Amino acid sequence: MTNALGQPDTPLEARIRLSHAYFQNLANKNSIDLLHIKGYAFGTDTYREKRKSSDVDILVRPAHVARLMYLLQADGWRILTHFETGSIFEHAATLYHPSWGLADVHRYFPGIGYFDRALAFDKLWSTRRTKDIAHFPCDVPSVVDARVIVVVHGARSFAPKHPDVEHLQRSLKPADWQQMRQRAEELDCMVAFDTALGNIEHHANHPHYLLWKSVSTRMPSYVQWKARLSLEEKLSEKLRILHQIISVNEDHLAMKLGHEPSADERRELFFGRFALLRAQRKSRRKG
Amino acid sequence: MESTFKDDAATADATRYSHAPSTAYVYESEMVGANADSSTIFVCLLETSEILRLDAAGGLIWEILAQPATAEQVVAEVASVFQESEDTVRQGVLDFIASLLHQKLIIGR
Repeated sequence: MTNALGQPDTPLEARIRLSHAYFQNLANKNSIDLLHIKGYAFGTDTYREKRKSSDVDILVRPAHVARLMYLLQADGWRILTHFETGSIFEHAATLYHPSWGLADVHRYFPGIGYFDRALAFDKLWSTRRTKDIAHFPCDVPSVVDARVIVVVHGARSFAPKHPDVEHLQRSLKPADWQQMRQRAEELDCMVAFDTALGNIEHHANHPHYLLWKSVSTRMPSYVQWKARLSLEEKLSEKLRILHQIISVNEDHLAMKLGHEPSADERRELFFGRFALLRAQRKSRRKG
Repeated sequence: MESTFKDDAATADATRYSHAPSTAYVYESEMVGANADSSTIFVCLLETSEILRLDAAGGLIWEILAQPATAEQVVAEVASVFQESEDTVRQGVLDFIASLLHQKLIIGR
């Protein structure tokens, strides 16, 4: 009655749904608080029907992140990009498992609680609900929080229209939006929320304005780094970010090359960027 | 107390079998863009990350065991759905239950 064993026959969607259950089971066994976000964790009350997902996203209580990462690596997961190298926000690590595929472990959600990630998680956790994914009870944000997360996520897109945000704009009533806006205020994510809706200029004087402007519109990457630097108050953090700007992003280079970069490849990327900058400056002078 | 499967003795056994707590499953028919008529189920023992693909009869037994059931109840249900005699399906059902128990996908109480 069993006609096949093993992963190659398992469609991606089944694998992703089952891996949500895997993460929840691991969390249950080890007293780790996590919320399943985006993808198959959110239903048709938030996303359009028949929307597909390609990975698993989980948001972990900040104090539990290190323990979860340890457990995952012990269980065969390999880190593809670390928190520090994944994005300008340093919010998620991407992991890969030969059976499960890709997963993004978030230590916070960009736009929600930049300065107090533990409090932000607490607020989302306090209104969580249980939803069966792969017939396994998983912790997910409330419907309102899920919708707010989708909007806030849309703020990180260069595209003028974000399909998931547009779907909410088409399908939800003014009262739903009022509820979302109220919750976005509670979650202290109004800048990202309004950015996604094309209203970033309402926050032109907000300290996070430049950061959200730089990730939602096409701008040179140094503007993002400038914005990140301006947000940090501690000298040690500013120095750490400066170091990141100068350093080669080895995780991204390894993914691009498909193997661990050699010393020569690292050197080439490092000096190549300066060559590119010189060429850009030269071209600007000519222009 | 959890039981181990006792081959043919199970037919007279009052042990009730059901999904083990650390299992999850997905119906292929529920998936986006999948064949709605598919009876395939992907079952996973979350502790080992192993995924088992169950076909029509295996899937049916898995569905029956979503609620605790004795081996004889499973035999009767499978026989009824496939319109076969209980004697015809019994050995196949018992073997399959034994296999699920061995893989720790179900428990018996």
